[in-house]
Amino acid sequence: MSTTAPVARRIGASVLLALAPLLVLVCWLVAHDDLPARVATHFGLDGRPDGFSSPGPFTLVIGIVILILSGLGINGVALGRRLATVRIAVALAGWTSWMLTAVVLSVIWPARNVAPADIRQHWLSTFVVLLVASVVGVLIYRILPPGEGSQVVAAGPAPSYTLRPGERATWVGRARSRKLLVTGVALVLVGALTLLLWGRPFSGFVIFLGLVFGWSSELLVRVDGRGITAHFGPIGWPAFRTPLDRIKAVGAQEIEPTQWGGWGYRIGRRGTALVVRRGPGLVISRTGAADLAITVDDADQAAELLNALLARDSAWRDLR
Amino acid sequence: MLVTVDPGSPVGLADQIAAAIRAQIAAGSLAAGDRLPPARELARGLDVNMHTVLRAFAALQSEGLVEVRRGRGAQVTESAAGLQSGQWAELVGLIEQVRRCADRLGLDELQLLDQIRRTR
Repeated sequence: MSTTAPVARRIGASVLLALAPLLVLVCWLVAHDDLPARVATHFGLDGRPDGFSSPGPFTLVIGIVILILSGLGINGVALGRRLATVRIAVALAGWTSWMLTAVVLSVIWPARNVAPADIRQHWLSTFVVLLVASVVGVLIYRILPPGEGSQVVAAGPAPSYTLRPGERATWVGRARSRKLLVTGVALVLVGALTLLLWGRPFSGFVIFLGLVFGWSSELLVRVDGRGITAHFGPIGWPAFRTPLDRIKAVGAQEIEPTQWGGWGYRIGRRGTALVVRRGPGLVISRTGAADLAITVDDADQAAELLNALLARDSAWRDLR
Repeated sequence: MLVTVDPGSPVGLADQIAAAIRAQIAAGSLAAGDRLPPARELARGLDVNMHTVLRAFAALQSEGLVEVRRGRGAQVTESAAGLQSGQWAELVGLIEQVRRCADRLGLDELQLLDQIRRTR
């Protein structure tokens, strides 16, 4: 797949998007003569229908939404110079479009020549719908070519040392935000308190939000012979890795969160960013992917080691 | 924190790691209260067993330079800088003497390094 030309990939993604409204159209053309005046459109947990509506307007209204979503998706694919951002948006449009398509098909197709009250839909079918949508969404995301960063990264500092061939070197650093940690802890406490006192389910969401804030308050970064690895939180997963052979240049810069889309894990116009706080960090330009920004203390040391590793790597490749 | 090891050196990897950390404490780049990176990260970065790194930490703890606590990792002790600077100053002084001696004998830097390597 990685050797397929980008144009072919865009066509592939567009076809997947276009199939959704097409499937609805085909389904309607085949089925509409066999449909009763009303069809079951909503089902209870026991599988029996508890909501009905006219098949025509139902299919038409949802069909228009599907058409718009797929149209927006194809539009994004055609535009896509900044494919890093658009890729996610297009995949989401495809996901929603296919989810609605699956819903329409699951309502219309079984309704042919059957009395509306006799239709049964197993509650598991919801998960099938979500599964279908997710598979297509992921497929679209993976088919679309990743965008390359266009900003020129100011490389530096140049290493003050050279690495010998057998030597192994690693640099480990981190970035922390006390504000994020305190906010996270506060949210968890507030959520737990309101949950215990008033039992509102929304408190669960507040606790979850607090955990996310707390998790994102510390970023650990490691540079070694394999490239650069970074992860939020106290355990090493999930980790964001960029291999050495994908790194074109790296520079230590002041990272301004608002330029990269905010705090946490961001995907935006300038590229991808792992941001914990405003301040020093690394900016990396990569082959086949958008620029990557990582906030970390003592970033100049990290950049120096990365540049030394890159220098050794290219010297090794020149020798072969 | 930067750590470099040479697998080809006769010095064990755990000793090399401990030496690198010792040097940083002596040079002042690691201050009292600074937390060392997690052993797991250093081990992955250097492609060594985590226990090798833990051995280095244990050695530094026995010298009173770091304190290892469960769940918090290794932390540079208050007295570390003082302990180190004394030994480090001694070493730097000795190196200066060696260089002066080598100059008198007419040895250049590479020949001196060669002689150091041969002496064990």
